[in-house]
Amino acid sequence: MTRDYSRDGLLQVVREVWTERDPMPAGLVERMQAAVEAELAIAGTDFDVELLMLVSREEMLAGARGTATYTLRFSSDDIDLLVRAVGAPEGGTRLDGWVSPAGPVTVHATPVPDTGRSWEVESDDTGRFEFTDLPAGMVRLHLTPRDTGLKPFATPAFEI
Amino acid sequence: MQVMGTPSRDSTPRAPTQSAGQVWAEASACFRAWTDGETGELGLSGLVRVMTPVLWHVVRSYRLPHELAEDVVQTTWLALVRRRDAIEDPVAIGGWLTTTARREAWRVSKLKNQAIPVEDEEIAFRLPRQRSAESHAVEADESSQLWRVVDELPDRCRRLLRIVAFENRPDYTHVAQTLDMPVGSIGPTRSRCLAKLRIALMQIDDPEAGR
Repeated sequence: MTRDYSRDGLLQVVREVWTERDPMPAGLVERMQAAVEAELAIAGTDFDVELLMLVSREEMLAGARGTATYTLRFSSDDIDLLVRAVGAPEGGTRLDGWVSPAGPVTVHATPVPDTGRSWEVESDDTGRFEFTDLPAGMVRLHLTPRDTGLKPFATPAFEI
Repeated sequence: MQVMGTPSRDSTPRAPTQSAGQVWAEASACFRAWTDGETGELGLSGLVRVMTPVLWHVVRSYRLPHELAEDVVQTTWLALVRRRDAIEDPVAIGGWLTTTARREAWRVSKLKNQAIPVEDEEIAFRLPRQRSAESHAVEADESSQLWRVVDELPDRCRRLLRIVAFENRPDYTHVAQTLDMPVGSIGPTRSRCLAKLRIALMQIDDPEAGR
């Protein structure tokens, strides 16, 4: 077989090299399919949810007792959300959040894919909230300001 | 200099990788079916399956670490669900997705600029996967040679060719902006990079070439 040195042949080589060398993480397609299904479910009920984008994600430290702390920052034009997740060795996750600008919000945590269970907490007046025991895995947060003049907003699915 | 007449040492068929054109056609069909009300594998799920690998390679060419790259791919899919009605031409779906992914990858890479590890540190050099016992030696040799050839390209060539290889006729204005290259230089740079790759491949196919 003589190699194809045409433009298309060369780009084929490039595709093959990268497909082998930097393959998608295992399960990526399935996670993305679950994420779009979850998004369709929201879009079907409430088109007015503003989607926050992930700005940064940092692993702060690996704790001495087998815990890891992640800090994630999400933002949109109007809102910033800082989330800190601390995994416990037993499997549950503590999740603290801060909304800026500060204001009281109701926060829903839903696993992705949807397991039929969800968790809800109220923030204090400064926009600080906490979930003490969420299951590890992919989760989305939906935040509804208690000031009904403000739009609800949601994060993409992220792993805790 | 005779190079083309010598058969390659690789006579083993490689697992075919679909061309960007084929992927784009399948994506358009899934998108059209989804907008017509089809659910599941024929519709949106199929579109996600077909295009997620493309988005992965496009996003990773912006040197984002795995987790951020995955988030950018997800952001792209969520944006599609939200803005589906804004896409009037199903044929344009592939380009819409890769452009959205590139814009988001570029934005995130700017924000994270200081913290991003260089790509070569991030990607461990993996041994080629074994396909079958008899072809293993030949293929391993072939694979690692191809990797080395791509590896030895200048950084901007590697990134540009990765984008061009996985996208179907990307918009050069946008590619230029996100790779911090002048727009007029993309076409010539791409040609130079392809020429470098061609020469390097000819040399491994026929080590006598160019002597």
